[in-house]
This record gives sequence, structure tokens and C-alpha cells, in this order.
Amino acid sequence: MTRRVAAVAAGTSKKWGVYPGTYRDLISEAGKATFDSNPEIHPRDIQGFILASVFPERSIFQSHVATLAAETVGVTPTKIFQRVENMCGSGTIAIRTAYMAIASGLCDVVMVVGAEKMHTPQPVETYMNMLAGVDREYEGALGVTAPVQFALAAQAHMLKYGTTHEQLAQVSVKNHAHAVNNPYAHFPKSCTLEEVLSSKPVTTPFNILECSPISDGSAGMILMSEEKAREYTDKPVFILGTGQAASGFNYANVPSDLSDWTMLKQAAQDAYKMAGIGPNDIDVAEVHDCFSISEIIIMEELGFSEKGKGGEFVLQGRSDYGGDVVINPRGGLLGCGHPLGATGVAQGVEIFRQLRGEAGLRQVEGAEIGLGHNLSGVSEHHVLIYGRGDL
Amino acid sequence: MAERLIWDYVYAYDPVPQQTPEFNKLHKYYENLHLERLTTTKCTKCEKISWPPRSVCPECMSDEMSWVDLPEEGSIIVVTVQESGAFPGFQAPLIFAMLQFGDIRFIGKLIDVELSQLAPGKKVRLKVETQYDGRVLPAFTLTGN
Repeated sequence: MTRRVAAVAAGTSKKWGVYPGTYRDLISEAGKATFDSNPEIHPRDIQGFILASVFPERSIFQSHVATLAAETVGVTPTKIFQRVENMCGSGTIAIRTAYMAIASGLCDVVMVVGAEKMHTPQPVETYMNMLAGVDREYEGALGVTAPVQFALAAQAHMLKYGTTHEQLAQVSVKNHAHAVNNPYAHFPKSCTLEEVLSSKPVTTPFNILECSPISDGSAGMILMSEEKAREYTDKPVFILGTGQAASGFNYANVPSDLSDWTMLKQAAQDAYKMAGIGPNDIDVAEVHDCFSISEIIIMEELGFSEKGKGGEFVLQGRSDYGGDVVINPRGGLLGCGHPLGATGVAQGVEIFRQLRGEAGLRQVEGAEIGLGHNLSGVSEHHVLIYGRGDL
Repeated sequence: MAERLIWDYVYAYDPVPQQTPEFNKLHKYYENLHLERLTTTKCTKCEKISWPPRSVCPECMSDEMSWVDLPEEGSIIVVTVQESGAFPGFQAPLIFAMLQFGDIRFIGKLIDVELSQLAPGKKVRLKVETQYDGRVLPAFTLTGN
């Protein structure tokens, strides 16, 4: 019998973007923000430590980073310590790993940190580092990048379902508007549909305002067994369900055409089943809008929108405040930035705040159940469902 | 005295794979590309054809593989034209497409084409790109070009 697991503390570094400090400085900020969010917890209370970080070997020439990070935030792990890396989805996987360690009874208190220092003195070096995240031998060598892979998914969705560029761009308009209310967002600035559609072309159909930026940033969360959690907070946020599925590292092996993300559908179904709920029960969701098309397909596969109708769903305001479900209140990857390993953890931080009624201007009124979704490619997905502790 | 690192060539910053028997068990893939042949592996036990090529069959775990040619003509499923954000050493615009060759599909690079001619369903064929140092990579162009 597994044990219930709750988040009891969470925080992010102060400002995402081009960070004026080292990798250690960035980790320190996440540690401070997380411990500051719950003064009852001291670093010596932490038994386990999981770090999500994608390519510090390339960006700062440092491996062996889980212990570096634990030491930096003052933690001496005695039950479990490790780094997780699975490209852009690493943060959610780190929370999932902490969940597994606690649910299994291995330990009671685990801290998760996600940190990425992506910017390098020579910007082209950062671009080269991003190439390490695709199939370097058979895709990266040709110059294929993440924007290209997701643009092909967009083309497939437009061809099959008639999705328009205006519908894609509306995702960006919504999420940039949300980012205005997020103090740590990389781009806290709204934009109009016309501005998105006339911004610099990247790869058809995407313009620059439809692509998440390269950002430095960090985030942290502390999770505990239910019994422990009740000692440290009156407002624990429980993990109710989780799912994960992958097929198609090389895009040759994606099991469907690029417009249907069947691995996400499967991961979501598993998470809903475990939580005993359905998509209609979700009040707020943080999802992986790495590109405009992503949020549209994600809403379809998560069951918020009918398949093929994600474009209409966003255009009708059904994924915004006052709609069916509020998607990406902190501004998403598009507005907030995307420091790879930190993103999934920060999504968890946002759901934590939303379900405790602590999200300030971004608060989704009465939010009781929230969902976090990270991906590592069009066919690799990680889902977490959170619920308020007083339910 | 330690040997000096040649900074002009650091493999960790070279996206083109090593293609010789010394470094790559699947060097035949590149040798075939030199002969303008696009090939992949077929398992001699269960006959599964894989992409990308494999040294062990993911279906039956046999390590006895043979090389087979993909069809000479493939088609575009969907295509994107990249105008900015290309990696160092790549000249924009770059054109990439999801291509179908028989039962195999993959992302391919298209070269020597007019943008106005690109559309789903258009037929393509292999056109090998040779790198500055003689290594080769697959690229494709519209049939008839």
C-alpha cells in the first residue's frame, strides 16, 4: 500500500531570463525561496534530494551536480540523492521521483530542485548545447532543432484539422498576458495577435513570439509523507495522480502522425484514473507550451478540448480566466521562459500556490484541483495531478 | 608534457557523427551514402526493418543484421521552412520535412528546391551532402530536379 504524499513548501528564483550569477547562485536562490515559503522546515529535516538539470556538463562544464546542489542549499541527504535528466520534462520527473521515494516508504521528507544556467558568454555556444537534446546522429547532424520538430507537428495539425495560424498565435497572446502578473517571468509583457503574427519568422508557421525563449532559472519544492506534512503545514497540497509515457526519441518512431500525441493521452488517462477524476474536475493547469501548437494539442489530449478543436477552444477563451479551465496562469514557457530542468518544478510551484490561494493577481478563484504537464518531445509526456489538502 | 588540445576541432562541438569503423559499428550506412544509396538495417532473424539503423534488433534481440535499400522515391508528409535560429555553420533558409519512404518515415533535410514547389505529397529522392572533410549526410530534393 503506497502512502499519500504532499507538497509543503515551494519557491522559484527571483527573476528568470539572463541570470547575473553562477549555477550555484541560481541553486541558492531556489533553496532560499523554498525554505522561506515554510519557515517550519530546516535543511537538516530533509532526508532526500533530487535535482533536475539537463546539461550543466555543456553549459558550465560541471557533472556530479546533485551533490553540489544539495550542499549548496544546506541539505545532507541520508536516504536518497540523485539527478534526473530527460531534457525539457526533467522537472516533473524530479517531483515524480520524490513522490515515488516517499510513497514507497523509503523516506518521509524529500527536496526537489530544478536549475538550468543556459546562457553562455557566446550565444552560439548555447544554441549548440540545445542540439544535444535531439537525436544528434540522425536529426541534429542535419540541423534539425526543437522548433523544426514542433513546426512539423503544427503543419500536421493544420493540415489534418484545419487549425489556423491565428489560433496558434492566440495561445501566445493569452500566455504573454498572464506573464504580466508573474514577477519572475522572463517576458512580463503582453502582446497583440497582430504583434505575434508579424514578429520575426522562425520556422513556418512559427514566429518568434510563438517560441519559448532560452532562459536561466531555478525552482524548488519540498514533499513529505501525509503524516509528516501535517506537522509542518495546515495547507498541504497532495499529489493525487501521475502518469508518464514515451515512444519516439527519433521522430521516425512516434507511433502516430505528429498531430496526435497518443503518449500524452495515455499518460493523462493513467493520471486521471489514479486520482479518480476526469478532465472536467481540473480547475487550473500548467502545461508545456514550448511552442504555440503544443498547448493546442496538449488541451486536446488532456481532454479539455475535443480532438482537433484546440484552436477554437483557445480562441473562444475557454482556456483563460472565466473559461472551462485556466491554462498556464504564470505565463507558460512562452511568457515565463524555459530553463529546461527548472520548468516542471516551477509548474508544480504554481499549482501549489494556486491550490493554497497564494497566487496573488494570478489566483484562479476557488481552485481545488490542478494539473502539471511537462514534455520532452512530441511523444514523451509527464503528468502530475495535485489536490487541496482540505478536500 | 601534456598534448595540446586542438581547439579548431573538438568533437563535443561537432554535430556531424563519426563515420568510420574505428568509431561507428554502423559505418556501412555512411559508406552506402557515399554510393548515393539510402540504406537501413533489416534483422536476418525476424526480418524487422528499423529506422534509424540498429546493431541489435529491438524486436528479437538478434545481432545479425543486413543492409537494405529504402525505396528510391519518397514523399513529403509535412514541411517547414526555417528562416532564423539555425545552428552555427548552417545557412538559412533550411527546409525540413517529415518524409515517407515505404514503411519508414523520418525527418529529412531538403536542398536545391524552390520554396513554391514544396507541398505535402510531393515526391523526393536522395541527394547526398558531402561535408568539408569528406563525411556525408543524407539530404533530399524533389524528383525531377
